[in-house]
Amino acid sequence: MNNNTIKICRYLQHEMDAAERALFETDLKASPALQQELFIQQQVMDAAVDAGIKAAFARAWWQRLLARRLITFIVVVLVLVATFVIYKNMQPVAVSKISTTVLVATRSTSAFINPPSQALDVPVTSYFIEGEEGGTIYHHTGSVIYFPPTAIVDKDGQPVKGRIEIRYREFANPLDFFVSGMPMDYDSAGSKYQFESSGMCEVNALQDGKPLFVNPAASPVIHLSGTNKSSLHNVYFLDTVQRQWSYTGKDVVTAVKDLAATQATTLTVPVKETAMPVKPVPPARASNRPSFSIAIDPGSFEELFAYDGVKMEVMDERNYKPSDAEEHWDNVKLEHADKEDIYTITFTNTRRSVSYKVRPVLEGADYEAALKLFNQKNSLYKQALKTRLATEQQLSDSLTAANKKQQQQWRKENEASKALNALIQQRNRMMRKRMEERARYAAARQLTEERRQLQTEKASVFSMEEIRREQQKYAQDFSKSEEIIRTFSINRFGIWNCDQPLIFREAIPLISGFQYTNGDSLALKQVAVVYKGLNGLARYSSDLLRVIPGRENMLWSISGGVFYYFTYEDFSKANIQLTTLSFTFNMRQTAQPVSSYEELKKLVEKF
Amino acid sequence: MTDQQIITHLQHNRYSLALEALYSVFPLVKKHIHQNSGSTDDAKDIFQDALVILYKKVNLHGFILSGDLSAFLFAIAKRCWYGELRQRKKLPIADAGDDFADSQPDDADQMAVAHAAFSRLGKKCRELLVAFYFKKQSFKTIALSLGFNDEKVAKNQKYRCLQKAKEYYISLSNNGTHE
Repeated sequence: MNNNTIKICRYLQHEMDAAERALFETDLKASPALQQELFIQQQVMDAAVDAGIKAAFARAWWQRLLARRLITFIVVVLVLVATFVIYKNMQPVAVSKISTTVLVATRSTSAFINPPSQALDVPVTSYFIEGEEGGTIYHHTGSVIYFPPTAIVDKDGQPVKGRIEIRYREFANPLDFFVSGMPMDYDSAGSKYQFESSGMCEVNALQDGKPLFVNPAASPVIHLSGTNKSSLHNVYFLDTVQRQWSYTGKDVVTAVKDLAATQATTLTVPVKETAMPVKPVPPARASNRPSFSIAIDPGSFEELFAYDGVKMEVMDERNYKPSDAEEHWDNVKLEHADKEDIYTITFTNTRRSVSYKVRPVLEGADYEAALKLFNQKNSLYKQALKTRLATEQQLSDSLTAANKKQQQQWRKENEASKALNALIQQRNRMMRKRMEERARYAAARQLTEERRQLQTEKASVFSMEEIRREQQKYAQDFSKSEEIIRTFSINRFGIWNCDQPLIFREAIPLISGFQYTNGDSLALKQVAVVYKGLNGLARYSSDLLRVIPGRENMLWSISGGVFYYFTYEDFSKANIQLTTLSFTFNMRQTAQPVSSYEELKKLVEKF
Repeated sequence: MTDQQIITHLQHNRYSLALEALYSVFPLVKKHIHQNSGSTDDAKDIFQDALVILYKKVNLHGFILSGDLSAFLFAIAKRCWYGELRQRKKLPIADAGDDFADSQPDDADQMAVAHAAFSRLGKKCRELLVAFYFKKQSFKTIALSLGFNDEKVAKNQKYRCLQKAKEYYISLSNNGTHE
């Protein structure tokens, strides 16, 4: 080996001491060959560094290529799957808006209760009732749960005596469904549906920490407060053993607004008017009193128009002036007088007016013909009258029967309404009282807060605005209420849900990536998509989300207690189209892990 | 990713992250090389050569980027391709003209000879020299990873490899070719 190689190495690597270094540099100055060798050795060393860099980039290049090919493969597979799913979903009918279907439940294999963070779950409220007496629970949301006496039994089916703890909570909005991990999908005959909820609750009973059961002979009744008026919603029970929602029937939907009106309801039955036959007037033979003829308008006096040659005989002949018969009259008016066959006739011209009491009379042959006609008409009249009276009696009887039946039905409904009304009024009284207590408490707490300046506890203080908002709900004026009460009885303790299964035909599959706002990659195990206007959500564990382009979508996820979100506004700006296949969401996040349900609720209410 | 972030990645040997950001330049390089008698494989080689040069430049003490990093990388790649074409006797160096001309033509030639000499070494020699000069590994680590008996053997082997590379270099220079 050339000894210079070692020397040059040691020189370049600063391994020589000062004396040796000075000697080497002297040699270097004197020897162009050594200079050349040093240069070459440096070049070779640089080439080694270059080779190292190149190898590092080459490795990164191949890793990138491999990753790209893998992603391409996955994308192709996902697109094929998505295309298949879209094609399958489009098969039944092309519907531009969300369509609804009532279904019979089958097994759900994927969805189950899976809260993203136990600390953020919807809190449970405990109530206590006496087992023998039953009791009524007034929840802060306005819902009322009625337990009849002996409604609760132990595992042997024996009525439970003594104090029973009722644990109750409600899931009213997408945030509640999200933090509780409540399954909101529903499988039926191989098709997947999303639930839209109009009210969901969990109710359990315990004594000494042991679970209790519903007495089938005295089922508790839930009056769930909400605002969704839809009658398309069904009642489902979450079967935690079978891991599926089970359809149990329909609820009774009552608008609180209508409760007051129901009390004032009275029965009115319209009576159909039928034409009455005209009673013929018996003809009168003319006497010696003065008389005159007039033309009778057809249809005005049917009883007179039937006869030919009718004359009007003046009844009060003392007042009669024969000269009146010679005068020109512009108008003649005939009216019924007080008696049946007496009329009042009034003659009028520009100068004056005269009236006479008159009676229609006939003379000679006219009278005989009229009498004959009268007898015929009178016979027909009597027959028609008899028929009319029989028909009226029949109608009256049937109306009376219908009236009675409807009265019974209304009485029954009114009793139910009265009972619910009384319940709501009682609830409202209690809730108003509770609100007043809360308001006093909040005011006291707020004062204390201001004095102590304890910022950290502010989140737990009831806001006065919130209290005012809730107080409005329990105002006495029912006519302004938007509240809906959904009533159903339960045969088991657990989670009950008034829902409607929906298919989102407008939703598109989207291969999704997530990143922090600074661009770094973000891994999220589960993401929920909230569709504005729908009281539900869809959860996705893979990167394949379903979103509805053109509508307001919001994304939520929780990881390590930190809340990650993509707002409606963010989604709107993202401009995702029907043709978009993939998208990377820049997720916003809370600065710190969220510590409570209330804290998260306040954050989400701002969106 | 900003230019400064890419430079930081390069300065901290985060090749994958840097490459991910710089890969956007590759289509431009490929297009340029296709338009100038090169193939896609040439483009890949040149792009990697350009990455090496960029890496070395940003790791130089006092490096300051005066323009766009992507444009800078593209200029390096163009320069490398004209150097390659010149070696293939197709283009005089004067035609390479661009604003990236801070190394002399002779330097590039000599560096190419050094690369060629290095590539002629056996695999173990190349690995040893890369481990020592690029990865800055100790002889103890090198001995373990490359299967030498001890550090001393690894050290002696390094001298032998350097000596061999120098001989190849001289031989290639004298012959006038380094293909």
